[in-house]
Amino acid sequence: MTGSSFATRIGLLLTALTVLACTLVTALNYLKFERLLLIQHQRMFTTIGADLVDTFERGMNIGVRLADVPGAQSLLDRAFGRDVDLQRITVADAGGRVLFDTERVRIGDAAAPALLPAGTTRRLARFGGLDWIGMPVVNSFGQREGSLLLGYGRAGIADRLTAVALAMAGPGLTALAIGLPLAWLAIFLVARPTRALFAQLAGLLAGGGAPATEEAMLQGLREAIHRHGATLDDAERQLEAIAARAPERNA
Amino acid sequence: MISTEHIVRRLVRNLSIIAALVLLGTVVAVSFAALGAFDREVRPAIEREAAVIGVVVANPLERALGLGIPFDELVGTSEYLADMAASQPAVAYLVLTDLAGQPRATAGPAAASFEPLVPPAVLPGDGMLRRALPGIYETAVAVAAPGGRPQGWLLVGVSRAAVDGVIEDTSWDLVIVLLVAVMLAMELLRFVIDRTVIGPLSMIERMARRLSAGDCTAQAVTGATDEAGAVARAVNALVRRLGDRWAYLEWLAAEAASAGGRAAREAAAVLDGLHDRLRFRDGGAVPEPLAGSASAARLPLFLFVVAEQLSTSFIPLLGRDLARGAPPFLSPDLLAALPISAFVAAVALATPYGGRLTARRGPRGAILIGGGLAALGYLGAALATELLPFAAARVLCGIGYAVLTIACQAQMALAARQGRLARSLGGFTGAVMSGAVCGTAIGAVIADRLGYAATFVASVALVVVVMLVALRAIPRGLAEAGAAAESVLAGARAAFGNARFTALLLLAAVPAKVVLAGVIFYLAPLALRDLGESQAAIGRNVMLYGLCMLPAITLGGWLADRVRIGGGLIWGGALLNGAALLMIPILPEAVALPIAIAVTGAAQGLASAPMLAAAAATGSGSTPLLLSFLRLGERIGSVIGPFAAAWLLTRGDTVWAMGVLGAVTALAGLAYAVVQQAGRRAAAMGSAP
Repeated sequence: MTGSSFATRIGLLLTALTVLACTLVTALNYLKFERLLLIQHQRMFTTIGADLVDTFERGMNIGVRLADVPGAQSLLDRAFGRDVDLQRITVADAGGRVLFDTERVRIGDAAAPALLPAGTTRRLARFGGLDWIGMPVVNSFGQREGSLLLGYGRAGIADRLTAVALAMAGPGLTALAIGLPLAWLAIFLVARPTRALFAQLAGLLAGGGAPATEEAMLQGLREAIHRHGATLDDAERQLEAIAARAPERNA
Repeated sequence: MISTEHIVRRLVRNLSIIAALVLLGTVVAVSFAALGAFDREVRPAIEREAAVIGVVVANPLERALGLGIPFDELVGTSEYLADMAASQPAVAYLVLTDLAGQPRATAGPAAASFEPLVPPAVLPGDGMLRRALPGIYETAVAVAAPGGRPQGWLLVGVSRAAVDGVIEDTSWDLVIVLLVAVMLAMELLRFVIDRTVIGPLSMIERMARRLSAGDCTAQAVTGATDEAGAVARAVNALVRRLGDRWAYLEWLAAEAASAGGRAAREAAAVLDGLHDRLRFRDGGAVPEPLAGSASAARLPLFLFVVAEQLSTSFIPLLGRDLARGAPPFLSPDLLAALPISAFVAAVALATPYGGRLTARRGPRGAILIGGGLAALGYLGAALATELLPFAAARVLCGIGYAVLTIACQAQMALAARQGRLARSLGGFTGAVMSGAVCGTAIGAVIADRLGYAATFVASVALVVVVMLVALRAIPRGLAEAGAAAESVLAGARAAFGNARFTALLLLAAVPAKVVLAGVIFYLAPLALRDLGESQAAIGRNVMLYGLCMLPAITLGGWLADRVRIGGGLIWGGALLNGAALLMIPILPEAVALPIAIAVTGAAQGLASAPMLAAAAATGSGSTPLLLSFLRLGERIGSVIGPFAAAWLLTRGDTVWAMGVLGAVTALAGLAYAVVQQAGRRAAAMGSAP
């Protein structure tokens, strides 16, 4: 039997489906875990930001403006060390001008409008490769005095995601490495009777002997081939006998 | 005697088991690894959050200590901790203890589950203690005046609930992916085995029958490189050998005839004798025309239904989102129904035209046209930012759905082997139901992770695959003779002029869909909710319908073909369905409802394939048109169902309404039995000498 077997096609199909299913499960799990960590990460930095906002608001309660809160810059510098993923903390006034910043060179610049909270609602944004939380700083009269912008990275998450991806990939690949060869073996084993049927058919049609099985179609085909062969042999013998006779004399 | 059918059946069964086992093994391995990794990796992240919360919460306490207030005299700590715990959704508890671990103040929803801490003699480098308690990760932060020695501990317990939720979610995802993968594997296996084993074997059987009858005018179609291709080439070589020998004998007869008149007569007699037993075609044998198979239509149908159902779970939500820009006097909730209604109306109205298109262009042409329209619709839906363009896109999807499904159904009817019409057409309902289950389940997951637009793009990709499969697997043409001249109106006149078809439609098909939409999708969920069942339990109960229907479809098709009791299954199914619904007012509702839903699924499943076969066999018009009118009737039944149920609800409770619909179904079944019996009598009298 030349060429690939139908069992090969079925094996390839099953391989593709299994790899697809495993990839799908891995991708879904990865995305789910990523979302879980992102939410948790955001919650953590929101806690840090809310604490800072609270400190600024308490500072203003003694009657000073946001720009005049005592020790504001050193407060930001101290808070900056609370987590390794924390990249930048900025305090801007109501007009969006930077008053305090962990990157001091930015003081006096305009904060990116996309990061500033809308009214008294927090704003979440991804900007310049960082995740940002924009929180309003409100004075004791309920007026927005400015905003606290907290930018953080995803390095901590990335490490965990890589670890999860590797943890899934390892057993997944092992399962595929064990399962797929076994599946191929099983496919070829269960395909054997069908392949044998095809082989017997091909052999029979090519003029081979009697089929090994009593399959009705094979027996019928064999009988037909022999019958037609015998019919043609018989006709050939008769015609050769006619041709071998001496030419008839014309009347 | 070993039959080819036996070998093939065993092959299909064993391959299905292997596919299911391999998919199950690998997917479960990946998922278990994922769950383990979640557990391992999420703990440091939660502890990190707990540490941040601890530092923030401890800060005012430390300032107070720094001002010289002794630890034991700190006041208002319980209130403060309660405020802080309330502002942090992840916090399970906050506990302030002294250095010996004795609690001084506690707060938080899980404060009762706090277990006393025994501080170790040597503290870790960062000065924080960490431990895992059931459902909680705890971090203890030392409380000290700035620059001073620790005077107590603040214990922050962060709940694992979010992680546990994800793990539970993952388990459901695992079930969904497995279900979809196994169903997809079964459909693809069916397709590949049909093309590589069943189809070629049936072709070889046909060739063997031809050869046995001495017909050497046809060749097998070669092209495959596998075993089937080798056998086809061997068949053709045999036909060619026989043809060559025939040519030689013709030549020999001509040579013999040159010997004289008697020799010519004798040679001609020999050839005539051969002609009686063997038939050859002048110019050599030609390939046998391809007929295509039912499986060739089943896979495109399955994939198309998956494509359509991917968006089922979010279409109302997307509709409502898009409707927000509408004028204020129009309710977004009302407008959200527009895309759904537009789709359903397009499907219903386009179905007869889909039937006509199929009759004129053949199933392959109709699938390509329907697929093209649907793909455009999905693309439009992905790009739509307003409600009206979105509804227009859904109209295109509906037209495509109508054309493509009827084309696949027609292909199944055309390709059905002798005596297998019901089983073949039963495959239609099976493919639609499997596709619906897979599409809805996986669509919700894709939409959740990748968004609505990406899900519509996935539908476009699937429809392209559908079109490619149809191009490859379904032969060109097969349009019905005379179909080009038959308009939808003429077809409708012919179909509805046939009493058998009209009775089938009005007494069996429409009532079945009224029950499906009115009872299973409308009344049963209401009744179950009134019984106090949860949403998940209601979903599980409704799912019983599909679970019982799928095997019943196969059984119904088999019984109709083998035992020839298709008509009996149709009216018997209706009676059974009616009896199950009439049982609800008699038995306790909690028991009767699941039984009625399951029996309805089984009864409608049993009748489904015989109904399609009966419609196709009425013979009054083209098969695709007849099937399309049947589908149109079913859709009308689906629309009537909820309205009928709602109207009945205004006159009684859900149990009463279900009982009434059951009685109507049973009466319709009885009426169909009477019509069928009358038709049989009339046919018997017509055929009597």
